[in-house]
Amino acid sequence: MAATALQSQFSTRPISCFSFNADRSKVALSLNDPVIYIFKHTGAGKWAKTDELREHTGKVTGVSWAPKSNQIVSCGADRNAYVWKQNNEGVWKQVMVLIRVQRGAITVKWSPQENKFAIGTAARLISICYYEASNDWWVCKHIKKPIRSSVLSLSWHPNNILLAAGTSDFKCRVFSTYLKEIEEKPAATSWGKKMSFANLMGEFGTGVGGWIHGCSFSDDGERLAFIGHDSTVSFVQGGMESSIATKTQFLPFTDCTWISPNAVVAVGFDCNPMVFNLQGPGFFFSNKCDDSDKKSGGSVLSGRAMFQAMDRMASSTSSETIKTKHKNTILSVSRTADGFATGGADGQIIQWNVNALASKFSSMKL
Amino acid sequence: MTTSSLSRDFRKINIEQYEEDFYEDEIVDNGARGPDMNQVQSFISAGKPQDALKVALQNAPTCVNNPQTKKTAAEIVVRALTSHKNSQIQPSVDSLTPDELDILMKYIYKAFSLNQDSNTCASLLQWHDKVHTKAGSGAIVRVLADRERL
Repeated sequence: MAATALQSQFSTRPISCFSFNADRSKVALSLNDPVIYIFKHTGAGKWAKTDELREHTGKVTGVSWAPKSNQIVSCGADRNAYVWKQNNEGVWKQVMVLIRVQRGAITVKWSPQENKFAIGTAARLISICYYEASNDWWVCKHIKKPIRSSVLSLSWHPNNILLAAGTSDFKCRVFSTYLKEIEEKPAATSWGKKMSFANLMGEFGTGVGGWIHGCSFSDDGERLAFIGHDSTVSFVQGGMESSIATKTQFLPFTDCTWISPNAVVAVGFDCNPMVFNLQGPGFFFSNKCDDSDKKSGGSVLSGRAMFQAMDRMASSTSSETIKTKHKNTILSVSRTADGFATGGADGQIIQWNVNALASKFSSMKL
Repeated sequence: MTTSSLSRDFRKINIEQYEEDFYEDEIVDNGARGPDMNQVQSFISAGKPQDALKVALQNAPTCVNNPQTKKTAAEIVVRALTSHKNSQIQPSVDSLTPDELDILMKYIYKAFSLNQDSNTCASLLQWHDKVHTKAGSGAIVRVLADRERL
């Protein structure tokens, strides 16, 4: 039976953002500083550093690796974004991107066809960037209305036009990013017919809940899931008037992604990926992917630690150690060919295999 | 001599409200003004704390801006909570729906802030423990994150 998880420790510092290349032989990541590191997989969860991309002057907040064209786009708190391409000698060189924002960038995602990318910023707008060959740079158009706060998360629809954005004004919105300069007019979808640039196709969320940290379109684009800081997971189907929120008993989530047409995995402050199945109108909790906390707890402490524990928690055995694989908050999750990969504040990237998980947890229905 | 006699009240103005896209919560007033004191009291006197609690959790005034309404509502709920004997707490918690548990958690934290006597606090802490076991950390997170607060 295949292992459920492949752990890789990159650093003691948090992995603020990461992105695999097409076959997961390489990963581009940032450790909460202005540098982007590229690592190559040398086997059995071990990685060797191959490149350091140093151009940002502020923290790198988002990284995305385009699988087909092998380009990396990065965005940072220094209000800049760069597209990196490998030249013939294998050296990564940056191409200028003009995103024209007055505040830091928060997240970036390549579109499915890799001819444009979207950047969510703290300037209450989304920058949609496309390539202009005449000057060899990427230029952008802005989506502003009716976003009222920072854009925290983005997710592309497979038709390369629709974009979901979760913002800190407690709503998740679907916009059209149709650019007549680079693409054909799109066909109508279940999210609406009119698809001029920056048209709001739908606005979801109660508006009185928590910040929307993560959102994700399903593979066919018919379904949208998003997670809020009020510990909720919400579901919308294309054509629905409003979303259906499921309140959970866990700590808030930071990111989510669909792993099958009916199941979503959400990660967050519980350091444990949680699977939610779509049953009836909304999501239902299925299982935690990491069951290490079932082991018997507590080892006897000695000396000073024992008195500290008695003082703090009225017990003389240690329950301090975190028993999940991730030892700190999981900051992001991304879809991989056989499951999903999580990056955490403990400096680990763990690649999970959904088939192995489904055979281990019977309640998990893919 | 060194302190100016001019008013410094200008420093207390929230300057952000004058910005063109100042964010204001979109809380829709649903008309809830707090539980019915008489109904709750009659259930308590009749020795039915579970029903008293159910009634006390209705019409929670989360959508109004009036602190007095919220304070009165919290006091009614505290009365319903303290009328429970220790053994009656668990069955009451089990009988509540998830939404009612969320509202109860909001009331418990509101009651904590109202500076009650030690017996009430002990009772509130017991309630907090039981509700937390049932509804998890998510209920506490929603007390903090929900814009419709008590």
